Amino acid sequence: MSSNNWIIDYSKKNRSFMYEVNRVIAQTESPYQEIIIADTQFFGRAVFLDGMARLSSLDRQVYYEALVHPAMLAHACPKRVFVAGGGEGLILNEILKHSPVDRVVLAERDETLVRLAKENLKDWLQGAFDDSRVEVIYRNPRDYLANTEDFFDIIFIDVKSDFEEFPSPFATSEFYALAKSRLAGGGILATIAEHTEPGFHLPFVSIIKTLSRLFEGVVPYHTPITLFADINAFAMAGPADLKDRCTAAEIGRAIALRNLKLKHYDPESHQGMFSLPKHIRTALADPHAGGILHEQ
Amino acid sequence: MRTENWLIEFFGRCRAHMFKIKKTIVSTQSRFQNILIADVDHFGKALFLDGVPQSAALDEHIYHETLIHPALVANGRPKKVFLAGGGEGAVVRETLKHNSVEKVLMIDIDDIMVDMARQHLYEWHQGAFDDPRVELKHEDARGYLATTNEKFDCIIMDLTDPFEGSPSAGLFTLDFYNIVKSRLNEGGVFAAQAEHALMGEQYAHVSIIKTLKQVFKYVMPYYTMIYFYRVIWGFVLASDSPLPEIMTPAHVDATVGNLNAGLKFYDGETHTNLFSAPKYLRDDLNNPDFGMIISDSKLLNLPKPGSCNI
Repeated sequence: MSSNNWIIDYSKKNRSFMYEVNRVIAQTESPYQEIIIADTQFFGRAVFLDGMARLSSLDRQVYYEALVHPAMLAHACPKRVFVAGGGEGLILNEILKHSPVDRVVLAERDETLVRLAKENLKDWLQGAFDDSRVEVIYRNPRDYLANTEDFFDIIFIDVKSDFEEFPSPFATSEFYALAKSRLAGGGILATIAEHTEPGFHLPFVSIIKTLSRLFEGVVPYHTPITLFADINAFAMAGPADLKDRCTAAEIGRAIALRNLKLKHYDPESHQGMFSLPKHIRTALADPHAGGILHEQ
Repeated sequence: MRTENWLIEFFGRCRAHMFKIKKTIVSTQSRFQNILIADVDHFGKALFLDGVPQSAALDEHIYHETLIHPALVANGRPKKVFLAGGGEGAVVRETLKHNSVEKVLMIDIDDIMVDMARQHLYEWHQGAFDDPRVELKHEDARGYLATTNEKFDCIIMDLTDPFEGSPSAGLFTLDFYNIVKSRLNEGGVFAAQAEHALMGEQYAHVSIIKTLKQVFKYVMPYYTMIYFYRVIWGFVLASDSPLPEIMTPAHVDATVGNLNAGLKFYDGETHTNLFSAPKYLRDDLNNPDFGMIISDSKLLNLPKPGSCNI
């Protein structure tokens, strides 16, 4: 019998995932969370925050391409981009692929996470934090947005949410309204939006319903993430015609126009991501399923 | 301190999924496999064979609707349907939702499995085993198909993983697919579960698709998340009829709208999702150097995973 080290993601209490670890690269308790960067057997290098798998070598681009490109492509000219969270930095690599971008503000409260990412995810980041268009602010994204006078074309919300504490402060009507107030005309908000799994799907449904109160165009979508052993849900919110800009054909044209080299996101992937499971569609149409999310 | 009972499924030997067992309903050993039916936290009642998750109350409808309906919709008016495996009875339940069906022959090698399902998994079969259109046999499905003169409109495989030495191993080969083809009527459609398709471990799935392409003119892989398995699962349709022309979302909506019982998962939009493959799978399916042609003389030889109950 060989002896193995495993990280067990026990966050969901009634089902857990185990990741075999070859070597722990960094393990620290920041003021905000426990951060582990480890080389795992199947996923390669991976980041765990408070024991929850966050990204891995195997499929990191699936997540970041899904979060970033639909919104960036749906906007005709995204120059100014704001990221709430995203301290691992890989979101920057995807944003900077879009030639119109001339400024990215990333507000991440956890400086330790950014430092560990810069030290241990170098090969993936390829200097993204040092790009002259990028400004990193170590501050709660909410405080930044509440105090800035800047407007953005795209706002991304990439803040890890704890399964047990839904809604997160970044998935409430109040926060979405604040984000909306910092969007320039025609601006688009894109956010991670929980899960599609039956029995755990109402938070996703509630996020969509909450966004729909504030924005004229709201488009939910989803994609499986191998590392999470789950389907990750996302949402875009913006102008009324947002949905029409998100057809597979439009996306294909926009990818070609911006000359993007992507690993996973293409028109066929888009078509799968934007065709929702029936239980989600049913819940969205049901006025009694889910609800409007407010700060507690 | 309290004791919790977890079943751990080691997946690919370097990650594992843990299921919290609230109560064991039955655990027995048949000639072919260990059968465990348990009440699992979040998933509800669930079936494990040799420690491998098979189906759970939470999302068995996703697996079974996905396996059965695309094939029956593609055929159009299926009268005679052959099902291999599927001991829980849910595949029979789904098949009988199509009014055109006159006969269902289901062959599951394991009669103990079917007995256990009759006793403990009513929600799965809902009495379908006793429908007069259904004939149930317990023998080797391949041996039956190789010797019968009967032909079918749809032949559907709901098999366990083709691990080394498993009774399923011989039902994923070129030789077997040729037998299947000879037992299909004009316009007949074959469907099967085609192993998981998760990134980094898609070899078996891609090999199954490539093997079928040697036999059938039209082969369409498709995918959905089975939450109980925690992976993207592969399925496949194969036929000599032009499947891509037939299988439009509008056609799917029209057909499933005419069933004698509603579906919870499969419809036109779900169909679009199922048949839009992730790019890494399309890349591998188009890569001539990836995967293998599976034959009786060259089996997949999937190693049997470890699984333990702590």
